[in-house]
Amino acid sequence: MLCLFGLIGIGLVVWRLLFGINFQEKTLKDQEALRLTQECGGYVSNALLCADLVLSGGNTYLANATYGYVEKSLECLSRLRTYSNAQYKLVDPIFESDLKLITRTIQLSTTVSTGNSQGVPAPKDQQELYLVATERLVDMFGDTEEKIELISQDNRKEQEVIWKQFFILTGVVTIGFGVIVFASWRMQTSTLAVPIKQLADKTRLAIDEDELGPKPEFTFQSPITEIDDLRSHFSLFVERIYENKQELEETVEKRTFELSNALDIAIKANDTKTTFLANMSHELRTPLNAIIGYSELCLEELEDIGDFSNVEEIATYIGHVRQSGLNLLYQINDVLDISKIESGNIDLAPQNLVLKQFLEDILPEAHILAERKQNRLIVNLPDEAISIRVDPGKLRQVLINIIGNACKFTENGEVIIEASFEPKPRQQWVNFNISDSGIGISDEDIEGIFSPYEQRSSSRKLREEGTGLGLAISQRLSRLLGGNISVKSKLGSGSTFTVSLPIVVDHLTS
Amino acid sequence: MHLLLVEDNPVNTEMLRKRLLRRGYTVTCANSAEDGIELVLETPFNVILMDIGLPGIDGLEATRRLKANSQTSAIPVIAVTAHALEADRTAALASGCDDFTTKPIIIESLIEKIERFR
Repeated sequence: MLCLFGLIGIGLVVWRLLFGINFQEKTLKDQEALRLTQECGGYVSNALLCADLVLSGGNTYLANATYGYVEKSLECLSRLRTYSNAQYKLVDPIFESDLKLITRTIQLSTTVSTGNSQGVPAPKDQQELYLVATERLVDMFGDTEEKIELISQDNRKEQEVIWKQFFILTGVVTIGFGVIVFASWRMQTSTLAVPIKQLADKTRLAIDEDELGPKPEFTFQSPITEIDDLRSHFSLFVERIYENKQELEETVEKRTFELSNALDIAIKANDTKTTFLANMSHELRTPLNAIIGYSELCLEELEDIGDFSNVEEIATYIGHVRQSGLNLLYQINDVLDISKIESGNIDLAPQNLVLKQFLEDILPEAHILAERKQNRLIVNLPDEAISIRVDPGKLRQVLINIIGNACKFTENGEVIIEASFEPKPRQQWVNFNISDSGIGISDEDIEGIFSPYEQRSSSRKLREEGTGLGLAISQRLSRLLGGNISVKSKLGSGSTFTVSLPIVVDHLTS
Repeated sequence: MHLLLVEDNPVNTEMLRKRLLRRGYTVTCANSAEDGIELVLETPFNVILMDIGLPGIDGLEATRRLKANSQTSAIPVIAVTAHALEADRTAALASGCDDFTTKPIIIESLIEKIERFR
């Protein structure tokens, strides 16, 4: 649009300028015409002067001069005619009559001069006619001069008008052009500069994190599709970034929480281990105290008595030494077991066992354990036909440990040992249930009951020998055998521990 | 010299009682802190040998109670315990024990500690 306007404006200005130049040319022609008219008039005046002299008795020489001037004036006239155009139409008829008059005047002049040279003056009427003609001619040239002067003036005026128009037009075109430039600058500002500035500002905010919300707001509505697209895409981009950031923050928070939990667990495990070491030290020192103490006592007694008359007493002391030594051995065995299991260095020796017989073999030891605190042992043995493939040593260790615990935490009560069967999708399982009517376990204690080094609270504090590793060892051994161990208990109303194992060798016909 | 031995493990109680008797001390035994405190109120013991890990009230708490009571606070208490860490020693002394020895007992060392309170 701007270009179109510029082209039209420049076209108009050039057009006016050409007119102006054209008129300048015209003016030059006017001046030339005037000059020719004046020159012509001059020649005619000279011709008339010469003619007067001829009339007053001049010779042929003067007549020739007259003729010469007339010739020159004719030449001027013919040159003047070449400038003739629409504006000289007024002049033309005059020239026509002039030409006739000049021709006539020349004839008269010739006649008169010829007469003179022959000594015969021209007739009176011809002389008068000649004078009238010449005067008339002078007037005509005067008229023509005036007319040309007037035309020249008109032309000058018109030229002034044209130049004025040229300047006005140039001014108008310049102002119009300026207005258009300003308008397009304004338009560019509102359609380009404002959106770009807003986008740049929002981008800076987006870079300075947290300063831009999830939805950047723009106040412009650009008519340019590309800029509108850029705006909506930028908004989407920021939204996406914000979402990603949120997601990342959530992940970091989650991970931090997990790490913090893991750290808590690690710290707790470390604390438990430290406590375990303290307790280990305590539990080992107690039997050692008896072993060392009784050994020394024996030595003292023997030294005092000098003979073996006090045999029974000494036998009791030595019995204590033996039992304390054994207790110390159990402790050490437990510690070794758990460390072996935890480092994965335990080998299994599975055998085919008839369950009933296997359990019967355990019973003597179970009875001894039960009798320590006057507990009644109730045993429900399974069908003879049930057989199982398992490492008997490990299974025995697990069951004796659990029976031992049941007897330890029950006094004047019952300990029930039974085996039940449970069909599972892939194979039959056997459950060894060991129930007691003892002190039970609190919910708080039951949570970590199978964890190694976990110490029970004072409500179930071990007062007898034990490292607190028995159940941890039992659970790990049960798992090694392909099964598991579980517990149900209520504080004050006894506990039931269940060792579950898959029956690898199915029913055998006896 | 009349000693009170507070200890819950009967095997260890018997061993220490016998060894102290052999050295000429009169020894009374209590198998819990509660029983021990009761005995102290009845009998003017010269020294109390206090186990720390006891069922019910532990040795530390028993010592605190004895030391808080003007009737019993003057009786020296020697902690005799299998809890052998430095922290256990600190805790025992903080509860008011006058001395501390660990199990297994080195009898000569214990006698020396007892004799300081004669």
